Amino acid sequence: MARRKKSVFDVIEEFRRQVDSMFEKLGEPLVEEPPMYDVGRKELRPLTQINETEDEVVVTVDLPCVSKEDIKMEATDSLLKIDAPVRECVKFGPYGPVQRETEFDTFRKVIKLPALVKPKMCKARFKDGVLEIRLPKKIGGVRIQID
Amino acid sequence: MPEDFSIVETAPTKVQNPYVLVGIPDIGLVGSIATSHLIQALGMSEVGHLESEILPPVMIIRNSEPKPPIRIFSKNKILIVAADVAVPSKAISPMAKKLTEWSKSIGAELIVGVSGLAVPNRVEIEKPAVYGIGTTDETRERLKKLGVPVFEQGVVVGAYALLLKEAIKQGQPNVTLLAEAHYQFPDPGASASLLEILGKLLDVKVEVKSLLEQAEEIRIKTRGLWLVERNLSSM
Repeated sequence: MARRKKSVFDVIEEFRRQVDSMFEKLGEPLVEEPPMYDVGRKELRPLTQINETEDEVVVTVDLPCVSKEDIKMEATDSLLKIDAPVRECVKFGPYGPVQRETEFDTFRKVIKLPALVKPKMCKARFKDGVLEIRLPKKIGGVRIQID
Repeated sequence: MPEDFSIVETAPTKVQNPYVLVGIPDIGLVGSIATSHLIQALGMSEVGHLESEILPPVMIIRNSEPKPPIRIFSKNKILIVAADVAVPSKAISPMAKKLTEWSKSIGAELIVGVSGLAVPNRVEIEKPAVYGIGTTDETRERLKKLGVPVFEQGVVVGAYALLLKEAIKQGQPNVTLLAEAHYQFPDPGASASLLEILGKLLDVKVEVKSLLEQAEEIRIKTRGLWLVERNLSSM
């Protein structure tokens, strides 16, 4: 079987994935914001907004061109993982650092939450390509008496 | 002392009392998406750009040609000042001053600012409302006649705020339109609502059907500009 010789970019990309995977296993995502895509994996990182109320963490995710039934979410008490394939491959012409035709078929992101949450009590809704997930905070402790 | 901003006219812009429309990336990219749609829909031509040493060191490459990041387009009575990058906070004040001076010098009938109004429940809103701010009694009356609700109480921040300030200071009428929008995500739906009002204000036919049909695709493709906006606006 013929194999393409690896370029320096392939090696760097492979290394980055290995480090990402190592950190994910440790429960900590390496990168929260950029890069906004992974060309090799055909993945886009969705835009996200995280708000915190007294008792909830509210994560809003921009998922255009995605159908509700295709969205997969997993939550731990400190992380939220989103996988959402797009209905049709999104094609980009040469743009920015990627001066070649590229296509993406999924949105994927691991979000580190700003507070510990109760993953089993999360609620989500999806409308017009915007996903909102409400995660109740883990609030507990010892009652303090006032003398 | 040299001025922080200058306007370079690369083609004649001898229009009688033009409308100067300003589209700068901010909330929901409403202004950027709206002006970009208008430039395409009306087939506007590039007639100049803004120059400044305090702008980020950026050139935009369009169809293999390097272009300055803030350009001026013209068609009939409309001039559009469109920014392809966010304007850093230190550049906002001198830019607003220069744009207002320039608008006044060419006898502009109105400066029109187009932006978004961040609303927390945007997902619940089918058709975003558009509110207007006028710097004079006449402009406020004009908005009322067009049926545009006036923005009564609140705060405007950033480039559009300083354009309003300069308009009052220099006696140049300014109308700023704000469409309800997502705060953190590109919002073509908000731009479409804004363009409908803009069409009435400028007395031009603007179709927004194609914008709404391509809304999801536009949201994906403007993500890069959104990130640049977030990064540069803190410079």
